[in-house]
Amino acid sequence: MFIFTNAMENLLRNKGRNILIMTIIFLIIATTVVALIINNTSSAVIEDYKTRFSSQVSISPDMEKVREEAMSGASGGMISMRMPIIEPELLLSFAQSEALQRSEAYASVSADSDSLTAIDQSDDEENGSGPAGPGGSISGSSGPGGNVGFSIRGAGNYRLYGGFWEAFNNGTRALVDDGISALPAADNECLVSQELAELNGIKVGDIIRLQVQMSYDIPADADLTGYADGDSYRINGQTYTLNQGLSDIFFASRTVEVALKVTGIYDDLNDAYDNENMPKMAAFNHRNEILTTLDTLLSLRSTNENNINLIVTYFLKSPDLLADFEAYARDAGLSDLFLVTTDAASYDRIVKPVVALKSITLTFMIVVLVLGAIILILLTLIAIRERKYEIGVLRAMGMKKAKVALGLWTELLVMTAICLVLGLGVGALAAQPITDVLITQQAEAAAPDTAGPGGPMTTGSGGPIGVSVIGAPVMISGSGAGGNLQPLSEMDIAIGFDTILEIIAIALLLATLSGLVSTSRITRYEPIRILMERN
Amino acid sequence: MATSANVLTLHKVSYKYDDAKSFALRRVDAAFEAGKIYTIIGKSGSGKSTLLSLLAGLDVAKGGEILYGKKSLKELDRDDYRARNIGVVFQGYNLLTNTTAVKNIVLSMDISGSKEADKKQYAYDLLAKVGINRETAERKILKLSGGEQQRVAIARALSHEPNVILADEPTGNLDSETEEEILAIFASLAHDEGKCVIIVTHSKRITAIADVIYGMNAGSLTQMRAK
Ligand SMILES: Nc1ncnc2c1ncn2[C@@H]1O[C@H](COP(=O)(O)OP(=O)(O)OP(=O)(O)O)[C@@H](O)[C@H]1O
Ligand SMILES: [Mg+2]
Repeated sequence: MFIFTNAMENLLRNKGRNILIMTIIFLIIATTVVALIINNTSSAVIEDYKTRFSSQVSISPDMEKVREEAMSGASGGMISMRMPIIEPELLLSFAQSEALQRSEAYASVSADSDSLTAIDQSDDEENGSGPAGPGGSISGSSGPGGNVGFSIRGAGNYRLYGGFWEAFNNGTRALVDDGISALPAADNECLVSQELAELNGIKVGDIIRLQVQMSYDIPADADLTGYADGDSYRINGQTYTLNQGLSDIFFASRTVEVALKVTGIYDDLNDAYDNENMPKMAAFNHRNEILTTLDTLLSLRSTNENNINLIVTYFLKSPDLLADFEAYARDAGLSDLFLVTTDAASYDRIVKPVVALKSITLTFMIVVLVLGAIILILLTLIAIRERKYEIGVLRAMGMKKAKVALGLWTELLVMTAICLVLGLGVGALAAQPITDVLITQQAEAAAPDTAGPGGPMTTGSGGPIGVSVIGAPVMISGSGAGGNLQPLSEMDIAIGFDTILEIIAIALLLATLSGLVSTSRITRYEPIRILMERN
Repeated sequence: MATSANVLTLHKVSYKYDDAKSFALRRVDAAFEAGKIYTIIGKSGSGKSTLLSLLAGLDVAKGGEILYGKKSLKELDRDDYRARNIGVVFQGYNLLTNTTAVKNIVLSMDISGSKEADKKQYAYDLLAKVGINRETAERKILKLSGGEQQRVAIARALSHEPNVILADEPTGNLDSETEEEILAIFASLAHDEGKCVIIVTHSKRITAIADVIYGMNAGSLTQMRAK
């Protein structure tokens, strides 16, 4: 006990020396606190993104293999590249895998209506240009490279979604408060946007009629000799109209009439267009989205039709179960023309600034700790030398070495504790502004390489990252914010319990380190020498 | 010579400082009994302070042996021995200079594990006995005169009621009147309380009250007079 009180008195007695030591300890702790907070927050952010991205599985065509396939099948100098198709039932069946925590699925298809007017429908386009004849527009959006599997359809002013309720869950869409609007409970029911309802005078309970162009993916080995543009082609119990494309390739399509009962009207908080640069066309306007059930949408499709865009996102129970999931999907019949991947690239890009920030602060912290420890040790050595006589007197009075050391250690500990409180406070205050500066720099450094070669390779939807595509043309499905693939440029700093424990451990370590230095000195000091030298 | 009444017994004790060429002590034989005052006289540099340091257990003899009672100092916990059994008045006082007189004494009592209920009061009383008043007792050692420091050092040596009191020139800085008072204390400690008092001194007054006088010459000790 007297060791403690004596240590406290010593602290007050040697203010000058102790303030110097405390300044050093304070600087070490405050900078370490900042570095540690940033480091730990970064780790949490990275971990969060990692689990989110690396547990989200996407199944997508393996472009390498698709190309190889096309080359090997090339005949007569004509290469026709075909995107492989997965039947929706198969894609949905993968959801049964034990490796998954859950899965999400929705589908969409482009549609027209001869009875409704779409928002931003252009004037020169005849309402419901109808079953596309040879003059029917070729779908504006095309797949990577723009040369793969055109499909021919109408203007595609509407987009019919099946099972796309995500926006309702995350609160960017909601039913209007009219007392009767309700989500579709059965097949062939739908929601329309408030704007579309107003424009066309649609009321809950009305039936709306849409036409959907289904395109049949003609197998490569199909023999179409003798067929001409505009002929009918029957297969799988369906009748298609053939259209001859630019390079004599036939496209087969049929029109499906859809009648949907409006069960509700929704209010959309999202912008009508994904961004400023989008052409103001009905096809891109989110207000023209008509929402029905997944089953309704999938029931429109017949075998080998490729223009329903089914998006299934699988969430693994843990990132390391990817191989298990892939094995399950392959067993179930997934062709090796498809890749089963997590979206590591997006993850890397998003967290790049944070990873950089983390390594900067980590390096900084190590430098500060090493330099700080060296300075502290030197300072302790000087302080101990100054106190040699005092130590000699205490030893002469019969105080044991261990107790002398304990006293010095107590002094250091108390000083460290004070610095810890100050350092934690100052560090916590400084961490956010420092983070802001650093992460902005890192985000800017990470940003320029966003324009990938050959145009946007990402599938249109910005929502779910894992995108599975049926059919060739990747549709601009516009399911909301497409901006979240940007590198992170903000990070909210928080002092966690872990951080506090770590900084306490580091502070204790520092105190112990200099305590050990003093102890090793004390052990060498023989009181007789100290005292006789003075005499 | 070593009888059971001896508190401290020296057998052919030799000592050499690590970096010194010659021995500071050579084969010193001596015996110190309880209840007596011993003085050691000798020229400067003859080894008097060195002998006291060894008796105080600040180091062990390089040759020979020092017994406390029947136990060799080499086998004792010399920290405890210093803290409880020995009181030393060092030639250079060896007080903690940047704290007060009273705190020096209380700390010494703390180290020795004193059971005294009110250590501070005890310290004041002790300081008063050697002529240090309360006001002086509250001053830092640095702000005390040489004589005052010497008296604080004496008080500290007595504070934990040791069996043996070792004093190196304890009255060198004192006027004759104060010296008389201190000597009275030493005499009473030895003759009334049965302590063993060993004093290194040049003072005629002290040698006059000594029971035994030793002479130190170039590290060798010889008994010069016993009463
Ligand atoms: N720390 C030391 N290292 C080396 N030699 C020392 C040390 N202290 C003392 N000596 C030497 O040991 C010898 C004895 O010294 P000591 O201090 O015991 O003499 P002393 O009799 O007390 O003298 P004084 O009357 O001047 O106090 C001297 O020659 C001295 O120089
Ligand atoms: Mg001396």
